[in-house]
Amino acid sequence: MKAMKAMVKGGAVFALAASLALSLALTVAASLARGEEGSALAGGLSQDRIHLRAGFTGAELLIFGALDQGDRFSETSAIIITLTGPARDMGLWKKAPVAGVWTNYRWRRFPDIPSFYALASTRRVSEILESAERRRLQIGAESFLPAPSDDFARALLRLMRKSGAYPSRAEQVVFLGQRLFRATFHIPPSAPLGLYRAKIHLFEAGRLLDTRAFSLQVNATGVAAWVSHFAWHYPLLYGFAAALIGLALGGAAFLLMRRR
Amino acid sequence: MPIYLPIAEVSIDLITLLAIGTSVGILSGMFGVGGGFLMTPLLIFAGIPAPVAVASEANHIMGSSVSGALAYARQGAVDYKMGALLILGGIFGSALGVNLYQWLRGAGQLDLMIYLAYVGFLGVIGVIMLTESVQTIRARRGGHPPPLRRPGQHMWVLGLPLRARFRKSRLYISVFPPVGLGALAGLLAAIMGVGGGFMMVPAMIYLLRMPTNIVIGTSLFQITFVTGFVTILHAAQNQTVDIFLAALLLIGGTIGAQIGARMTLKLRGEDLRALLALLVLTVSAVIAYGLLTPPEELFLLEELRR
Repeated sequence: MKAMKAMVKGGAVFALAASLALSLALTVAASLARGEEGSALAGGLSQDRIHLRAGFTGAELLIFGALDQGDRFSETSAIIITLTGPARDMGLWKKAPVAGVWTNYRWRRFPDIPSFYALASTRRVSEILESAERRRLQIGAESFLPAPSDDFARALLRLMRKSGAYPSRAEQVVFLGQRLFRATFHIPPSAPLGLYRAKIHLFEAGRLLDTRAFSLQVNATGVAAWVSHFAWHYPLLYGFAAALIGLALGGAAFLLMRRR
Repeated sequence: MPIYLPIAEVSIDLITLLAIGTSVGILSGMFGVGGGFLMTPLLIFAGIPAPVAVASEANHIMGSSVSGALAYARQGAVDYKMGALLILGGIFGSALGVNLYQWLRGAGQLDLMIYLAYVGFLGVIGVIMLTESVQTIRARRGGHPPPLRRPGQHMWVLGLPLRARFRKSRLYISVFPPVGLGALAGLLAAIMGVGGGFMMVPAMIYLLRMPTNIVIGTSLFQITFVTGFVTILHAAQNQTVDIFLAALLLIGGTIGAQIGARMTLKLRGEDLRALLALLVLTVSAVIAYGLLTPPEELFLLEELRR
């Protein structure tokens, strides 16, 4: 509660916070209340559960935070917010002509690759951190790939960007006054499901000062999600259902034709 | 209006999908074929992953054969004993096919196998059909009567042991040829998503020497069960059956078959067969071209199951 008091005292900050939705402010307060004593950073998510509906527009996630009163955000300071989906093992095929016929030829396995990765920052990430440091802190989708980069690693990155799993454009972390900041992430409808992790990093002159991590559950909703769940979890039953639907529709067609 | 297919995991235009279903339905109504060999390539061209196109098409064929099988059953034009043996073989064949499909998929070669099977089968069938229909058309133009089929010798396979009497077909033959034929149809259903009628009907007439009037009914009876079995196996083992896709194709196909059945009267049989042969050869050529040209995207990403 000490942190919350600190926030109330900062009248200017609170006035700006009023520009955010009430629920958001309440969540900030709740997150701040959870914050450890003496920490430089606090924050939260606009929601901790997202329901995606396949074929629709996806969802917006607001990640926000506040600096502690003692800290001043200067020109050498920087904030990077990352949003990482559950890790998956990926396989990548490269085609080659075999006797003139193009087919999958070489294969490589990429274990523990984030199924989703988005990033927001106050400045360009390359201006904030050295590449070795990015790799160590796992900032930027490239940091998950084995080094040195080759055509397979580049293709993996390119295909993940193309599918929307790694949005190629970094979002902007926007300051509302001197201490409150926020960034908006778009979660596409095709985003993988599971437990996501959002992480706020505060840097000072290329040095990591503090981090805060939050989790987010991404679920699917709608008929398509239900069908997919059914198909993967009860495959035999699903098969019988598929055959029954075929039988029912075919039988209905027969009855319709006979009536004519 | 895009619709999301939950198993194919692609959004596809609903009108496009219904149009594919309807046009293949028209063709199958006109030519009296199931149309699976046209539907699966069209679905792949429309952007549906080949494994899902094949498995969902088996589901669609099953539904579209039901009404035909029921109609022939009502006329008493089904040899159930022969059908049961074909189905028995079909169960073995499709189980083999579904496992082969799964193995090839793991080895990253399933798409290639599907394409090669299509190029090969469509190529051979197209050439046979085109030759036959062109010969008939020439004979007609030249004023010669079409050559009558000479009653050939019975194939030796019919004389294998374990003979059985098929009353409806007026046959006394070994059970091995029908079981083997059924197995081949089951294999094709699992790997190509076709009913196999294009192969079964001639085989039943010329190889088994069944009377023509019960061949189509028996074939449809067999296809309904075998594609049903393939649907269940693919769903259980590979999770590649999209019921949204199959249902939409069934709706489109039913409408199309009604239209197609009415259009058939305006053309002669051999002209129809020549047209169908050209269509089949075109699809085969398009797939072959795709295999031989360098793809735009050299890489294929897949998520591995843990």
